[in-house]
Amino acid sequence: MQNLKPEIHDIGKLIDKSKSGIKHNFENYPGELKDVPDIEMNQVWEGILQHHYPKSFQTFILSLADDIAAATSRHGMKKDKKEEFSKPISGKPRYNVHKLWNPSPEVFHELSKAIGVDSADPKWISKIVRFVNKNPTTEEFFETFEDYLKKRAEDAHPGSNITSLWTHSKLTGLIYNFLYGYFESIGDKEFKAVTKDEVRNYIDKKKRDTKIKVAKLRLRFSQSPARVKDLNIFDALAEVRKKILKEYPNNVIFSSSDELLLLLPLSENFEKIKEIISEYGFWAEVVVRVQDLNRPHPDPDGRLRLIEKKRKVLRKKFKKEIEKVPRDKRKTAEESIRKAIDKSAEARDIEELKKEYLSELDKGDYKKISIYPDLPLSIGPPICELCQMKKATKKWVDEESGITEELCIHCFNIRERGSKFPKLEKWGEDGADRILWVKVDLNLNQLISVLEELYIEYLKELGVRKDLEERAEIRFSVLSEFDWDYKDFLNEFRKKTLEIFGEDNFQQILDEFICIKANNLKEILLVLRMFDKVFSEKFPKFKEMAFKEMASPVRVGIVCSNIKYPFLECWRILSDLKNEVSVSLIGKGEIKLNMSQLTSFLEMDVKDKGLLYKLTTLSEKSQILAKIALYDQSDRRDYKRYSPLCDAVKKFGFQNVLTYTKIMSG
Amino acid sequence: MDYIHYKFQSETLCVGERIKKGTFRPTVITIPYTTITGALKSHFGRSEIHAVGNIVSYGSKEYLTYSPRDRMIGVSKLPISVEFLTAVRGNIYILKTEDTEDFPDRIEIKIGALRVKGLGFTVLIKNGIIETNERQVDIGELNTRIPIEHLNSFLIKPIKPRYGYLLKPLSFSEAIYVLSLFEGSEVYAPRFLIKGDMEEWI
Repeated sequence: MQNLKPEIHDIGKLIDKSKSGIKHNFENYPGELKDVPDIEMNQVWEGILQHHYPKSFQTFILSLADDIAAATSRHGMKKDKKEEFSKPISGKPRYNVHKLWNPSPEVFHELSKAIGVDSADPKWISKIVRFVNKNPTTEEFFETFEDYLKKRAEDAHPGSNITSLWTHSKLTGLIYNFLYGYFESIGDKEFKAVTKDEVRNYIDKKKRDTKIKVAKLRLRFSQSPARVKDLNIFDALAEVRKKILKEYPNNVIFSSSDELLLLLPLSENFEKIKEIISEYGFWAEVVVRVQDLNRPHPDPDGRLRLIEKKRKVLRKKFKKEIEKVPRDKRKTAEESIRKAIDKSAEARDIEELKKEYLSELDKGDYKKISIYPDLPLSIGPPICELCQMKKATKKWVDEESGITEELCIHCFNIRERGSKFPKLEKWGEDGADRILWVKVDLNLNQLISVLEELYIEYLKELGVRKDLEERAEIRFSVLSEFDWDYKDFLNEFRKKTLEIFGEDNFQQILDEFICIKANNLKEILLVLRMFDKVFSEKFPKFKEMAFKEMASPVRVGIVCSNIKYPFLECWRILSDLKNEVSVSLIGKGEIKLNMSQLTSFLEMDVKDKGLLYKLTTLSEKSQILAKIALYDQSDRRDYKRYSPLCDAVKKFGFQNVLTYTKIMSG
Repeated sequence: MDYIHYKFQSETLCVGERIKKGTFRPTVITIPYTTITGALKSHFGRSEIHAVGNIVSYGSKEYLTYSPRDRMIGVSKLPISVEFLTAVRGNIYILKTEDTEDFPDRIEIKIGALRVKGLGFTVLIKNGIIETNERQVDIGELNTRIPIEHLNSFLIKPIKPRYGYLLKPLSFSEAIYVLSLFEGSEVYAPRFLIKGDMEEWI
């Protein structure tokens, strides 16, 4: 099945059809062109030539895969009134990729300008034809054309140019391999005897009739890491993820360290996943939705997300209404405002959605499950001290203190792995007192919500006014495209942080989880500044959305503690980040900000060290006393000096500013 | 089914997990079935008591360092730090049975760990009776910890469970860990056992 090399099927999109006249499936090649080589038929060419009108089982699968991996639904090509909304938007083609989170300021209406090569030049066309003639590998394809594939939009129709040809090609390959194993082989004869329309109808029917599962899986562990060696749990987490990727090579559309989005056959029962996680004593949360192949959606939790979206609107409405009421009357007004809001259209929608949600759960087309290793109904003591999920059968004796801990076999094995994060061990021996645990988190549901809003915004820019929500459908390809950039963002953030703190003070634990040995609390601000800079560069539109009260899907959490402080407490904060930006100084205070506040918070300029020291010392005795000192006008001299801080309190809240002063006092 | 609803407040409370690293005992931030049921059973000396609870708010997390003493040999062990919550406010729900229906409006008990060190003094004030049935359950995140064997007493049906084990006393000196549903599980349950957000408007 690999001979077809589905990834190469759209190579013709690197040729300018408007100037050369060559269609991207080469069906009219060479046309008027002279001095170009002939097509030397091989299976790659079959894929290219037949991916719209398949004449074999393989090209039929390719056609399906191509469709599912597209940025926008291809249904619009049909004249079905119900699907009118997905008709292409009129206007000049846009060949460059409009990344919803980071759009390029330039728009290229000519392919050659977008990809930086004369794409109608017979020499370029010859290069492509000769390349395919030699029956290349997919690796050669991506290596040779990487730059062009990344710059060229998969679909140049205005409003559809939201993913690159690179992403589309990769995703088509993955979906092809998945579907190839899923469909029973259909004889090639079936396709040869029929007309183009009959083939299209057959494909549409197959798509409507075929069911698949889309699953979102989150890996979890029950262990409460206490010693530095217990952080090996993250090494084990990476291993579990790797094993799942190996076991499901053609199914994972999107993945972070602990979350995976998978396309699965209907028969999938997650036994393999259970087997893998059981080896490590992990567990997994799964949300799975049965969908037909016609319009698979990457968001199995869609309905809940919609409920949440509408509830936000209600909360906003409530807030707006209650603010109109004088403060002293708000308590009594609350009930009547709530009642009025309960009768609003959004509240009715929520009721409807909730009914649909419950009925889906009942029918079983939508399932939420937890996958655990086999758990006994009871366990006689002792239970494992770390995971508290298995009987403790091993004893761990600490060489230094002589303390004995009772562990289960999984937790014992994880400790036995040896030092996977050697710098942490060393810092532990040195007794480092300022360790920064920095974790970046991506919320997939929120990501889809924000991308939908950004897509609507883009369509509005293009003059679309009708059916915006239906048109702005986020498909697998957009998430895949985002995945590249998200990984790039994480790499960049890690690289820059490493540059600032140096190799000796930097330990990577996961792609999105690092640890830094800091000398001064002020270094927290350096990390935040770096995060803010890279975030603004890579996801400027998320930042803009933050100003429109749309929560960022990317969050950052920093916990500052002594190396001896139990890591499980830090992890409790980091594993469930409640705010877009959270900083927690153990025993000292917290900062909780929105992404829209971050830049201005970091620009806060309070240079008077004596003043900061005074405020910090006061707050250690009493936070209220510190607050009074800020506003106390009896000491005229201090009151004036405090004014920048007072302004900051108005903007960011007292708790955030107080923690800031503690950071600034080192 | 009927449940007696109490509001509670406690100035210091530690519902301890197992000691980690031999030196640190974290607290959980809910009131498990075993903690409150055990405390009520020992206070009233009755057996048909089933109760769960949850914490609505607390002031801060504090730490108490002390050295447990082995009275048999008269030697103090390595000091441990115990995490506890201050200014805790929350709810307790007790299944109405013959043994519980006459519970007073105000109950003063000690719950959780380190009671001998003065932690866990709790005042429960009766707030009313909640009547509910299987048709009145809602969907959302569970806000307490409860053994699987007692789910029916509280009309709880798991959807996406989070499991753990709670210590169940068998006699004065014996206990076992029993499979339990932990907070964060997605469940069908009476509204009072479901975490905040779902209560709002849906």
